[in-house]
Amino acid sequence: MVGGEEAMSLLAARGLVKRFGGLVAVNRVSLHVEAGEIVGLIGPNGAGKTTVFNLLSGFLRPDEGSVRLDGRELVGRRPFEICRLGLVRTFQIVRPFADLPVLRNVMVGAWARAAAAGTARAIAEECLAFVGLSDKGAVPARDLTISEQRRLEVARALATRPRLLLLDEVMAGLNPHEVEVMSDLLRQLVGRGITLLLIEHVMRAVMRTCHRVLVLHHGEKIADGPPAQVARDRQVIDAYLGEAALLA
Amino acid sequence: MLLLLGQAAVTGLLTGAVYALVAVGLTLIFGVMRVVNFAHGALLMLGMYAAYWFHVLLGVNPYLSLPVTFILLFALGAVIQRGLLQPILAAPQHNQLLLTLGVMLIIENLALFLWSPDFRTLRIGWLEGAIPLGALLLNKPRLIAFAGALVLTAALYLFLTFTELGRAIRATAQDRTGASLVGVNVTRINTLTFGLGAACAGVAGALITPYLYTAPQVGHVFLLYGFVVVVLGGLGSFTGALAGGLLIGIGESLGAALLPGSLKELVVYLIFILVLLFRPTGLFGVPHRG
Amino acid sequence: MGEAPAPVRALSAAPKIPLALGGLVLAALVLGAPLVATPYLLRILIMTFYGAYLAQSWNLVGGYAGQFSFGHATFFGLGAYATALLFAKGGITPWLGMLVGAILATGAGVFIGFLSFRYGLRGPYFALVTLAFAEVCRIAVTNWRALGGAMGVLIPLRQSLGTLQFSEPAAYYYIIVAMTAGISMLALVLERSRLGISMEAVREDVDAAEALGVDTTRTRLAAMGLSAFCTALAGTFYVQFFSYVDPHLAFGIDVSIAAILPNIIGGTGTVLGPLAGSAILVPLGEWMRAYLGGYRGVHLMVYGAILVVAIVFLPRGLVGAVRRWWGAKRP
Repeated sequence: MVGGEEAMSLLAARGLVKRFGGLVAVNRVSLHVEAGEIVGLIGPNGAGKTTVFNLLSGFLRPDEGSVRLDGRELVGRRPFEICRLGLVRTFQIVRPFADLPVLRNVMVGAWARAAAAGTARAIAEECLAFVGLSDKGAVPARDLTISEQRRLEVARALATRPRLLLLDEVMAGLNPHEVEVMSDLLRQLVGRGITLLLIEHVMRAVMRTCHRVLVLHHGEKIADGPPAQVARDRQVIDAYLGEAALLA
Repeated sequence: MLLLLGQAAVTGLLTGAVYALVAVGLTLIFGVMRVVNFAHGALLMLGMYAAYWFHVLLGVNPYLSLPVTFILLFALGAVIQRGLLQPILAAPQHNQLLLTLGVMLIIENLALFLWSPDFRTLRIGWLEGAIPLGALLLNKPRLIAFAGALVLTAALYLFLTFTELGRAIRATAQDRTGASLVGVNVTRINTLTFGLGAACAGVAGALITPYLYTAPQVGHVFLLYGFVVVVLGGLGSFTGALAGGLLIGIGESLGAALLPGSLKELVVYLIFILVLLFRPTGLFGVPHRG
Repeated sequence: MGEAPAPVRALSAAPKIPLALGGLVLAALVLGAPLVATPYLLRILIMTFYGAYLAQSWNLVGGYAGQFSFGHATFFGLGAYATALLFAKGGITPWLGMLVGAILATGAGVFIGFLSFRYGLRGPYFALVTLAFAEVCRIAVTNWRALGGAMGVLIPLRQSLGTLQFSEPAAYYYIIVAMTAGISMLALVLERSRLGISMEAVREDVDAAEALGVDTTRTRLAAMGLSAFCTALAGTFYVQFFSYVDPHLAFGIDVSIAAILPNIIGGTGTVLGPLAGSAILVPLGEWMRAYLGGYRGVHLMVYGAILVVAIVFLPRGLVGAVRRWWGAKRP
């Protein structure tokens, strides 16, 4: 089963199953992400996208299946360990440390790698600059706009020096201009050698940004390929039904 | 020995109904507002003094004061909720807990100031003695308290199940946002709930006045036992509180029969800790959203 | 709550010299107080610093790490009883007793924390389980005759440095001032450390912290252990100062409340909060006891009222309110 090609994948999940009571939320999902890729994870509401993220990042334990990062098994590890191994996720609903100043928010992530306060601070400042929030360092995170909070999430995750970043709808709630800014940011991330797996609802962004798209439906993977190919896939169009137009 | 244990179990069962009534009020408040009400014991204590003073000053049968106690405590609870608790419901949970703690300090020490720390007891001739049940004896005032507590608990249950308002309370407990979306006035439900919870505590207090001493700090034990029962039954669960109350009543009474000193309390707290740690959703497995 | 060093630094750049001067004056006042204070005033000062120390101990876990313990009496009582029993029954110096108590308390804190966090107890559940542990201790000690039972433990009077008993109240004063200064320094160091920042992250959002590589379980356990250790030392101080302890004084809910209250008034998760809170609450309480002592319960009633008012009107305590006012004043 394990082909030489897949063994090299940065991230390789096989046969993930997660049940909640009688409901099968994720059913035998296998996926792989190669270093340097931007992969989109899409699917209608309730398809199990966020559950997959939770399984990959250690917030949920799969009932079956395995997740490997660079060949190292992640199942059974706690989220903070997985983060330190290089896989970091953001949350669909932004979860800034509301009472802490922006810089301190990012320093939380920076400490995952840094050995001294000075280093942590330097990393945090650099990440803030990267997302364009340098002048907000002293502001409590709760006072940021939604777009700024999304960028703060990216900066925090970035500060942990990830190899693979799982972004859960970082575009949600942004206006078209802000979507542009964020898309730019994501491309720059890849330029820094970070691999991206993103859940996204803003289809235009997905189609333009991603190298490859995975489609989940009712907890199962129904398509996996370049955006243009997936957009023409009969099964995918059926799954989205009314939303099919968005894919064009 | 067996007779002794049987007697202890029966006495415990009778007391347990009162614990259940106390706990039902606590759990109702927690269920609807996610507030752990530290003032609950103090409210019970006020109910005790109400019954006491009604009897001593007006010569009224303490049980006749029950409706008045209910109304007074309901009003007090509603005022506390609307005036103090409602404005800070969005604050972190421990702020609400501390607020009720502050209210507890005020009420208890007001009682201390007004009525001194003296232990007061009611002596009512026709309540002396016990009713035999086979080889066991049923203490009259305890029996009445048991019946009264069960009746009020049942009435509350019927209210919550079969009336429009009761259903609104349960809907709010299940999903605040959803309830407000379908037109439930959540603020009013909060006030009503806290009033009902306070009234339950007050009536429980009035019911035990004829056989227990009345003092400003008497509520502590009931508060702590109330917490135990509520957690045992699952925070927010009505039937769980009822079952838990009876269970703790019997457990405490058996503990007292078998163990020296105040070690019976130790048993209660150990049960509490074990349940919190191993089944925080309660023995009866009612799911909660933390 | 939990301001970063950054904004404070920005603020203090200009008025650094007046600030340093103010600090010197304050230090001189604090250190010189026993020379001029009446015995009564000195006693109030001792109790104020003692209250501040106890509250700062709670603040480490309750404020910074956001784990709302309602049972710090457990740790306080372990410190007090270990010191008292070892000295009264075994003649062992409180210098050792205090260490034993602090280690026991740390163990208890980590144990309670481990059980609670492992089973995911948060918010009111954590508050209730810590409260229950303290009550278990109180009842157990009350019923345990070898530990003095309900009568408590009386410390034999033997004044010397080795027994940590002094004829001069000023000695106790300097000790508690040093303890308070020490724990406040600890809090300041913590604010700038990895552990401190992790604690704040855990307080704000456990899951988000975990996702960013924070070992949230270990962070909370460390906070519990540290806080318990410091709280136990408050118990030792209490025993040495009053020469007596009983189950209620050591493990009663009043102790837990005393550890929390100054934080709520002053502001949780800040170094100054518990200090400011205690500076208000303790003298006020003493004053009321002196002048309203004839009216039983009045001073506790006022405490309750202050608590209610503080929560409704100053949800972030005095420090938070001053910060907001200061922030609004700036452009």
